[in-house]
Amino acid sequence: MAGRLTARYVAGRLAQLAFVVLGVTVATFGLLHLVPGNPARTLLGVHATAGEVAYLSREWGLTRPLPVQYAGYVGRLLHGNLGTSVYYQAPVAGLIGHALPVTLAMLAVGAVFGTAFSVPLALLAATRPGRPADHLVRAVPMAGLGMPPFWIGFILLLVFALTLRVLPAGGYGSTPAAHLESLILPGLTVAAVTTPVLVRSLRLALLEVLGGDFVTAATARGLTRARVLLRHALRNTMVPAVSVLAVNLGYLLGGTVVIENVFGLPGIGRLLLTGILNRDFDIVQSVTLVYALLVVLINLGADLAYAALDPRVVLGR
Amino acid sequence: MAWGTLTVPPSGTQTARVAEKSISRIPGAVVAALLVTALAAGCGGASGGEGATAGGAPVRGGNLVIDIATPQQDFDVNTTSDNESIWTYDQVAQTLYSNGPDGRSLLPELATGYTLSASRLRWTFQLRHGVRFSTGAPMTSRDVVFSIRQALDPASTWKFIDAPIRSVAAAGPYTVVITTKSPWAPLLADLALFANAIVPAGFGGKTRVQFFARPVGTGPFEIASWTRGQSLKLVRNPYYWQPGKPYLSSVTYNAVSDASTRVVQLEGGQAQIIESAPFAQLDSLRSSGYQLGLFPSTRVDYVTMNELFKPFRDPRVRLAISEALDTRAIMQAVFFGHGQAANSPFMPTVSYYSPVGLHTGNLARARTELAGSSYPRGGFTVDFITGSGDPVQTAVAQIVQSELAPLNIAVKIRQLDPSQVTAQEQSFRFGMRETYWTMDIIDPDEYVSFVLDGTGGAYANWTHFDDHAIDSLTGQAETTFSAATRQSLYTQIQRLAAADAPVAWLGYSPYDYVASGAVRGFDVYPEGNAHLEDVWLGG
Amino acid sequence: MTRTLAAGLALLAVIAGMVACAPLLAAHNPGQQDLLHVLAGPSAAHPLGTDDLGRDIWARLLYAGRADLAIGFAAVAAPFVIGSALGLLAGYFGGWPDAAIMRVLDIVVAFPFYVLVIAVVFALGAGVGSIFIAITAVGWVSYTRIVRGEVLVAKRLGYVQAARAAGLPAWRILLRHLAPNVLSQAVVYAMSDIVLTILAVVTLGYLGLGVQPPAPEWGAMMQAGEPYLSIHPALATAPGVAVVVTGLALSMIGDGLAAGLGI
Repeated sequence: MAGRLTARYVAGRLAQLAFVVLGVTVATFGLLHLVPGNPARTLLGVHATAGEVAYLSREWGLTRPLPVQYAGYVGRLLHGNLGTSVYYQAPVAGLIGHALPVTLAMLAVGAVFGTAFSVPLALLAATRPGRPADHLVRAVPMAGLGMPPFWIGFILLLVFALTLRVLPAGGYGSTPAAHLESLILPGLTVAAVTTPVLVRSLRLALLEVLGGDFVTAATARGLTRARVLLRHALRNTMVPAVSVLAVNLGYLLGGTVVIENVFGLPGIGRLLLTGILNRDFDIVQSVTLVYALLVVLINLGADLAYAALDPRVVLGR
Repeated sequence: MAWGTLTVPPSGTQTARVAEKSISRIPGAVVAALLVTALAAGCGGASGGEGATAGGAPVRGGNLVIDIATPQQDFDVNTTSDNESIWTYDQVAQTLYSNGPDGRSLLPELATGYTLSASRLRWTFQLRHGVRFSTGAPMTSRDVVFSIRQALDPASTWKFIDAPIRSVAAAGPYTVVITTKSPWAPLLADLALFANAIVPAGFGGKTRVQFFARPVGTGPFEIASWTRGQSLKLVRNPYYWQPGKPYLSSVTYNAVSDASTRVVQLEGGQAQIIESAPFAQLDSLRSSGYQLGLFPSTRVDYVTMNELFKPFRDPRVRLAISEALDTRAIMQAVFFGHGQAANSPFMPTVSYYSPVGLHTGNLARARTELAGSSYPRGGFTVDFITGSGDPVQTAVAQIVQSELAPLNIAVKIRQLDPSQVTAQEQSFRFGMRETYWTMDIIDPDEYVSFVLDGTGGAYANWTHFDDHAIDSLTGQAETTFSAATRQSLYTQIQRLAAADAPVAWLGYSPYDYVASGAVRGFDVYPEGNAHLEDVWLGG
Repeated sequence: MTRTLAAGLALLAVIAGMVACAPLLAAHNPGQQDLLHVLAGPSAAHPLGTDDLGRDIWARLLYAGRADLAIGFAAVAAPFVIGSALGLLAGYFGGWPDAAIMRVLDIVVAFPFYVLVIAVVFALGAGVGSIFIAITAVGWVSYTRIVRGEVLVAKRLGYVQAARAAGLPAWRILLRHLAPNVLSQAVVYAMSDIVLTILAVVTLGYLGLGVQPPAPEWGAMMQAGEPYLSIHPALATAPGVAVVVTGLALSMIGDGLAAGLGI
């Protein structure tokens, strides 16, 4: 039996995905039309002359009916055309192609650090409920949630780059080794953002699992406590923890925009900000779209994995 | 004057001692020759700084990484005006004459000499032989004629520099004749403008847009790669005409907008030279053994006042504002003790400068001035535009806001995306803004034409200021070849401008670079040009 | 009242009190410049030193707190009301209203929080008004989700069934019976949402898209202090400490409330 991962479930999930993606394109398309009045004026700023506005309106086909414009937009997207950057004078698709791997690498490094921090903390707390260690660990989310990601970046920069001088303060380097080294502090910052969320959900899930019958049964079978914890309890906790992470993905991913800015990493978050500074509309629109697609796809992956590894199946083993 | 003050701490650092040691291992004659080279390269410091800069044989090879504050924007010489693009373009393309290290002299570069006709209208230039572009093609008069002609484009930002040129023609493969519409004193200086740099005729078969996306010239380096907004890599031009140069194999410019990140990259060895280090940090960097390069510059900071905003049409209002600003304190605060209050509309590094005096930081005087104006009690609100993230503009705007409050002039700060500030300025949609000027050529005509001359094409730095007396004096200075007469004309211009206050001059500040101990021969001229072909990386 | 709740309330009261009494606690006007004493270290006159324009950091910190707390609390109100109302409607009526609201919600949550907030502020222009609109546009979804879930559970409970059987009108059941019972979760969430909102305001300030200078605001102060991180770290880090302490107080209140309500 393959959990709940039936053909019907997958089909339903994909249909939902298609709808969301369509809605997302409506939203990014609508970004330009968000402000009452002429979008060309929005783009050119409040002081543009009537002539400039009229020219841009014609150039962008902004005078046509909205549904026609939207159809044109989706048509462009389907051909892989994400627009052209005014500032870089290059296709936006190529710019995103260069920047996306940097963002993904930073997230990967962050996920590794995040797991390395939160699993031991959650284990520590869940195995000693109500004791000082538990209280201390429970304070982590409380303090951690209120920390601005860029402020955590400042502190890490101050300690590791400016004071101890063991890690680079910014940039991405030019070799794979330098890339990796440049990703350590941003990765730690990502981990600092994810750890509070992870610790909270892992601890709760662990408490539940540790109270369950199968742990008692496993202990009764003579397995050591450590073995029970690692082999059974933790494994059964990871699935809900990962899905909690997936649910909060939107928030966590958004934090990367600011983190890339603090460390000068050439990822899509920084691309978004330079796009905003230069009022480079195609970049803002397409990077926003890519972020949303990233969230949607990762959520889909998490859901499918969750369905495939239905906890009940694992529990029954 | 003490140009090239790339000094090392007097305490005798590690780097200085190492350099002295390496000198002792090479024969005296070589050392002498090298010292001459190094001095020619402009790295002889005035004060005991010779150890690190002049010592050691130039080492060939290596990649020099320079952290710049803002990325190169555009190399099309007819549209670009940002210093990063201009200073990078200097490494790639060269001019007939180039600015000298003192900011007041010219050196022959792609020309070897010239003769001027008795009518002072025909300039005949002899071109240097054996010069090749980085494509390998030889440079001849055909390329020079093409290059000057393309710069004459009436749509060019720099058309006011080349405006006096009537024609340019070849008179043999290595002879070029330039004819001016009237006798034109600044012509030689004008030809040193980057926009007049020599490029291959017909852009080497490319379109203008294609060519300036990766320009080619006779300079010591060629562009190997350019990621707009991030980094640009130069590699050695294998056909460079100066024997043995450049020493470096490559130069990488990284755009690092955050000043403290630039410092940390220097400290971490990811960059060897950083531009615009935070002035506040210079002392601590010096004491940790870095070379401080505070090069006298032609930079002057000022606050412009758009005369399309009615109160600014009254010169007494402008003067009152100028007098209310405590420029000494502003320059002290904004440049952390490395700035100097202006005492003339001109900079001390420019020819014909004359300290005519500006009555700034005098609130009583400002009040009297305003009382006699058409706005005796102030009572208006002015729109001050700043680029977000620009510390100088942001700071000055806030200071101006607070210092004009006693005059009952309200300042509303409007923070804009940096790219929008220029656009707003050039379409006159602002009241005030903070900006600065650095010379590109040695003749003050460039600055006067741009900032003070209402007929100069830039509407006097986009203020719509127009003083007929200044316009006329500017014209006279352009056609006069006598230095003494020009001095008297420019002194009058400075007096008039100080009294009329088309802008509120704040002050002067040096170019500020910090280099690691390994960098040798790095010098920046007052116009901002750095000759990277003379730079090498020591041990 | 749990100890966590009490501690959180006490901490928030102290912060709010300090911010409210800023003129008494700070000897200087937050906008007063002293160009000859910029980036000074801590002294008796300036307990945290001065910033790049010679302004008193301590005074700016206190006055900035006014802006951040006021915007943080106020900006949560609209998403709370709108989101809860939509959640009540979706949960109670089901059917197409539910489907419509939830599909829109799916689309909004597809965008990373900050990305959408930044994009909206980009379109509307920097400033406090844009912050409110952006946070409302993005923030309602959490309340809708929470309240809808609660309503779905409560619908099956006796009191709602009884009210329905008695033929009470839907609005009356919603407002008089359901709302008071299902909103407690939303209130608990609002506490952590205020933290997130203050973070968003601070982040926008840091990116130069929020409160505009010279008005003191924690994020804008951190942006202004960033260039001096290595020589005068207090400039960029002290406002962050203020944010963290405020966030801690609100999180403790949220946790305490949750524990008290048995959630």
